Amino acid sequence: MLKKYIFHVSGTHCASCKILIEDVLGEQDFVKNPRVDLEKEIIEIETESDKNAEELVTLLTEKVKKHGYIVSTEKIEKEIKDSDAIWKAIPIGLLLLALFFVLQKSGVLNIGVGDKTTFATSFIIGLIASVSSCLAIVGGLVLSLSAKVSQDEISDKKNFLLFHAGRLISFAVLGGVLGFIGNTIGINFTFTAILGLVASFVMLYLGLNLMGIFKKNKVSLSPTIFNFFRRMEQNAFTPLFIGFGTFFLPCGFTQSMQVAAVSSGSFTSGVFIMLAFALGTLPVLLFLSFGSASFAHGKYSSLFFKSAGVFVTGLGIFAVLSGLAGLGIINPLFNI
Amino acid sequence: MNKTSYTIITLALVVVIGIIFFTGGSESKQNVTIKDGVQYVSIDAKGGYTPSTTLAQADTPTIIKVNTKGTFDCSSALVIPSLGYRSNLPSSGETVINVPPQKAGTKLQGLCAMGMYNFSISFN
Repeated sequence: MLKKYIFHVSGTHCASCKILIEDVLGEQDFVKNPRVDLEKEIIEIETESDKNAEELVTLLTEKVKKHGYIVSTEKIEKEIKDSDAIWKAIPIGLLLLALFFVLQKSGVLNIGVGDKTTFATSFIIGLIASVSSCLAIVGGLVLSLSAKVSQDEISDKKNFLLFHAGRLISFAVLGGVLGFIGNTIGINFTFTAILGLVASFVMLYLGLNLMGIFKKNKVSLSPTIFNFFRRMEQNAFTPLFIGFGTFFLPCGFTQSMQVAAVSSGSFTSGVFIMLAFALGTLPVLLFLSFGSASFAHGKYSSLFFKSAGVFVTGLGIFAVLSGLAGLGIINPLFNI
Repeated sequence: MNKTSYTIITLALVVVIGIIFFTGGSESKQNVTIKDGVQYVSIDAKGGYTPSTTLAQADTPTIIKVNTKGTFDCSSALVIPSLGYRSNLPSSGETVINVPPQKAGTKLQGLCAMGMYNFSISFN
């Protein structure tokens, strides 16, 4: 006989999630008339199966888990704790932003490293770059992507390693190519500036997402696009490719090093300059990615995600405004 | 702590960040010289541009001399939109940019390619 069950469902982020869940579960033989109520985050099903509620929950979760939803008998009480965390997260994120910009203004980062670019100076310039306003784009992107990947509980460590490996290898190889050609073919201001703007918007999106703003408003993202992003997240090629892309992200230091690689005159010296620079930026970036992974699985994960969200959103706004100024679209608003 | 104290801390931090962003910037110093009818404006580029504002004479052929000394940051990627000038400056050295005579009231703006640092030269 037909029995009716009501379960809780979590992970619904958009209006179309209702359709997706109902579609997926409707295809199952044992499920009849699945109905999702997004407001209450519950799902109603009818079934002839004599399995108990716990077994049904496991079965249903299995079907929708790859889309990011979880079916449970008890409501997952996460939202309540979250709304408290944002009050602490905003000042923490702002404090980090204030410290970051004080560091930029202090002039500490303007230490001289000499005029010659050697392996050692490139490494030191990389170290400086990793805490400079370059961090606004590259570091912010790494932090927000890492936090997002950890939040979505995808095999984060493997993805981070692929990203950093992809970054080191592309810097070395592309540096070599620049040294060999002796020309910055294809790397022009407008291209990097537009790429930087795209990265800044990704940061803004991820930052707001980490703060939980999109979750509350349930901004509609069609299931096709959402699933596309989810597949991208799980694809091993994606972190490698993003690592490669950071070579072209606008950062004064990266561009100076590219110029140095060009004028170095040979493939080998180009490789060494860019590899040393990338190695210099590695400690901070490693800390950002693996740090977020360990925070994400710790006790203060909710606070961490929201603080990181505030910080990244701030950097995103800064990067968008300076990027637009760099392209000459708006007047520069500040001098950092 | 309760929500009120968090709100107060938040507002205080917003003010601090505002101060960081909208204050500072070195004032115009003696960086304009005129020799044989040509006006030379010298600007140092390292961790930003100094001085950030310059007053110069209008209707005079002008040469901007940008000095770099171990400059690897954004200020080495210089853009002057109104002149269509875009260049990666050498990490150390002097770069000369020719500017045709400018009308009084013109403000020439230069900034680094990522837009974090800028300087302006006002002509009058």
